[in-house]
Amino acid sequence: MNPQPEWPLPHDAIPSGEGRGKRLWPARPLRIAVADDEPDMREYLERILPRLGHQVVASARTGVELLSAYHREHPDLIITDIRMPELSGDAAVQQIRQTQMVPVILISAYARGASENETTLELCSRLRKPVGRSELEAAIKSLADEVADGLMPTALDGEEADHD
Amino acid sequence: MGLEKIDAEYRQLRRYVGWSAEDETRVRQAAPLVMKRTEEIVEDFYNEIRRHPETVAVITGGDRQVERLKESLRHWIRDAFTGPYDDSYVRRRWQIGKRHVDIGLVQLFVHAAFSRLRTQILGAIGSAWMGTSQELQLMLVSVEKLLDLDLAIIQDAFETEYQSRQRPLDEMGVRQQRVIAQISERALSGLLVRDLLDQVVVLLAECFRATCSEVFECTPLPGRWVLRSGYGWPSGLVGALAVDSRPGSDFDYLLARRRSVACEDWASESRFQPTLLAARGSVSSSIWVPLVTGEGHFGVLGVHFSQPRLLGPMDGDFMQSVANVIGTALERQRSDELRHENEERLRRLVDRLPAGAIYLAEGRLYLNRAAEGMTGYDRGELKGLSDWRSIVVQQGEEGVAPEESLLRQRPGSVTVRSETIRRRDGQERLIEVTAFRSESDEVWLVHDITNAEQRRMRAMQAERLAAIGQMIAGLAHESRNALQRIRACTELLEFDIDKNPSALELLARLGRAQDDLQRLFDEVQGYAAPVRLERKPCRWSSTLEEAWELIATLRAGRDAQLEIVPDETDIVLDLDRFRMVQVFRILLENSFAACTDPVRIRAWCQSANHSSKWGVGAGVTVYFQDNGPGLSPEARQHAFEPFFTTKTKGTGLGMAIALRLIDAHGGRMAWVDADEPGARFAITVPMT
Repeated sequence: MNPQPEWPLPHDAIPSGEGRGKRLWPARPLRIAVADDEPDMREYLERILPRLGHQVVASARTGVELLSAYHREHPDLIITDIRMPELSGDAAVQQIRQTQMVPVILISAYARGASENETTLELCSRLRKPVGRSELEAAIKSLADEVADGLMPTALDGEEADHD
Repeated sequence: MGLEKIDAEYRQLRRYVGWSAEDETRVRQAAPLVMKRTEEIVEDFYNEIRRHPETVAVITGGDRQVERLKESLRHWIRDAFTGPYDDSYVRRRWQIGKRHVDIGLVQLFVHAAFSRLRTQILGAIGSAWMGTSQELQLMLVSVEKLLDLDLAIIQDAFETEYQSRQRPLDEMGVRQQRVIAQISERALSGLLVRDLLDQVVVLLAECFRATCSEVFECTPLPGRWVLRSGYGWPSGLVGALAVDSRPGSDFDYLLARRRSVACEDWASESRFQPTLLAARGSVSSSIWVPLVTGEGHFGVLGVHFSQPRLLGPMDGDFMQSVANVIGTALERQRSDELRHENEERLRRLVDRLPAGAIYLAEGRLYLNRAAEGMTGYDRGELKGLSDWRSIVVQQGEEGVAPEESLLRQRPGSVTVRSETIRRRDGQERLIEVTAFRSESDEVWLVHDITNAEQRRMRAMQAERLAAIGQMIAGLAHESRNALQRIRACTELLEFDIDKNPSALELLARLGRAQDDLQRLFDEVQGYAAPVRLERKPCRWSSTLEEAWELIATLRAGRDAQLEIVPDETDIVLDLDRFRMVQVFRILLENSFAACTDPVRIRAWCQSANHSSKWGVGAGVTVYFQDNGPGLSPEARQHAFEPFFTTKTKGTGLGMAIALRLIDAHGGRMAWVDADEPGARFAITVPMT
């Protein structure tokens, strides 16, 4: 049996009217953790995402900072660069996903086919630099659609109380 | 000698020894005494004969003959002691002498045998005589006279007969010598054994004045022989008549003797069953010799006479000599055939060798088939060294063959050179010639290394591109980070100056410049990066349709139509869909850049004999045609070269990338001449 990672329940993930077993992302604002070792890029994300109607709850410079930020803030979405010092963005995401599922946007500077071991992850968008607001908006929308389409595993329902 | 003469001589002889009526009476008196001891005398006689090789040799018929001879001896004893001593008695003695000549008995032994008989007979009389010793004395003298007379007749008969036969024998010997010489000469002339045998049977029959002669030959079927050649045989039997040669048969008997066998009289033949000859009813005497080669039996040669004929050792030796000549001819023919067969095999080996080989001796060239295929000329057209030189357009350097070359294990020099030759069809090919030179000749192994050279160049190109690609990839990665920062800053700047239209316009232009830079990096990387195909079954027409969809923005506002001509050749191929779309997209983008409205693109396909670096096979050729101005002569020549472009914008990598992608599919892509205005390209991809 393939163990399903525990689905993190974002705050107010369950619309009041919905029954158990089905959870949806809030329309907005999303609580987003961003990570990039480039200050220009961090600043850009910190400033552009609020303009798209979201909230940046953490801004990390390394994969390690991203991990601690995640566990502190439990964001709805992570937007991270791949190549970062100490721990790469995709490695940090992999660690988080061993226990909890969180939607992710991975941004890389690699061209098509340059990275051989690109695995297809659930709830994960890959973007190539340079990335602008239109690309970000499209990626967030497609993730939101994916979340909306997803039926949450009912077996995990009872564990909601763990998250606060 | 006439019989009367013999009789007269005998009467004279009797008078000479003083043979009288009294002698005759006394001999008759002794008869019972001798007869009583006949068996003893006969046994003694043959026991002695058995002890001497010379006498044993004349007894060729085994025990049966000995029995017959014993009976003759008994008859002789009875005859000698009972008479009557008339003319017929003399003739019977005469026959004995003649018979001794027949069987080749040495006369010395006749005397010795007679001496033994005399001792036995006189002893028998002496030991059994009951009368007076005087009477015995007289009796023994009479018996001695009788025995002397008998011996004298036998001796006379032998000599007369021997003399009379000697002359024809000498003549016969000369004839036989001549026949041997004729047969040998014909055998040496290289006459086929089949024809030689036909002549031998005729020569033998003539020489022997025989009724018929023949050769029976073994067949691969065990126990079955066939009449190979025949003289005096009914026509139709030669080549058709089969006889039994299984163990126990006459042929088996003849072969087992291993040398010539004669039968002087079929009527009294006891050694083998007279079943041998189909024509035996009309044959009285025969002589055979087995034909043997180093490999085994070939058959039996036989000569037959309708009249009884004496066949002496000389005849046997003659037959043996003939058989030896034939045996030698058979072996020579066999070894000739073998050598010829080996030569033929070697010739075929060289001729059918999948590698080109040329033999050069005395300025003449001999090409094998592969060499003919390589040059396009047949061996009749490239006859000499000068012919070869005339097709060489460029002579490369000559070097010493590598140490591991097999040819270097032989004495002589081995060199390797490369030459560019012009084939008969005009194609220039690069040929590597490995030449082995000896004093008298040269052997060239020729390899067409044009493709290998092309492969080498391609591999070098790929290697170079890989290095560039690696560098470009690193460059692209870093520049993307830089572009990202520019983009981030420009977007943020947009927010800050959103009330200033001219500044916003400048930002938009900055953004387009970034996009162009980005595309340039992408294309260079696309050209230089190694192509990894992900083949999936798809139709080329669907990839063209997809490319058409992808250039929707390019088509916007243009009068453009795409026509894909339906064809049954539009089959499912193993293609990298993404790459094929990329190829058609490049072609479409070029067409849209070159054509003025209305833009009409037409594509169709047909099956093709495809030849690629993986060999020749079936494929599909897609033709892509637009209605633009077409390609200039310069563009035709350089269309696929990187960084060649006719557009004011662009890297000039599009067609080079397209060519690389098609090449990666094992296909070809080329500009082709069209019978209508516009540019036409042909893309051939193999069916995998």
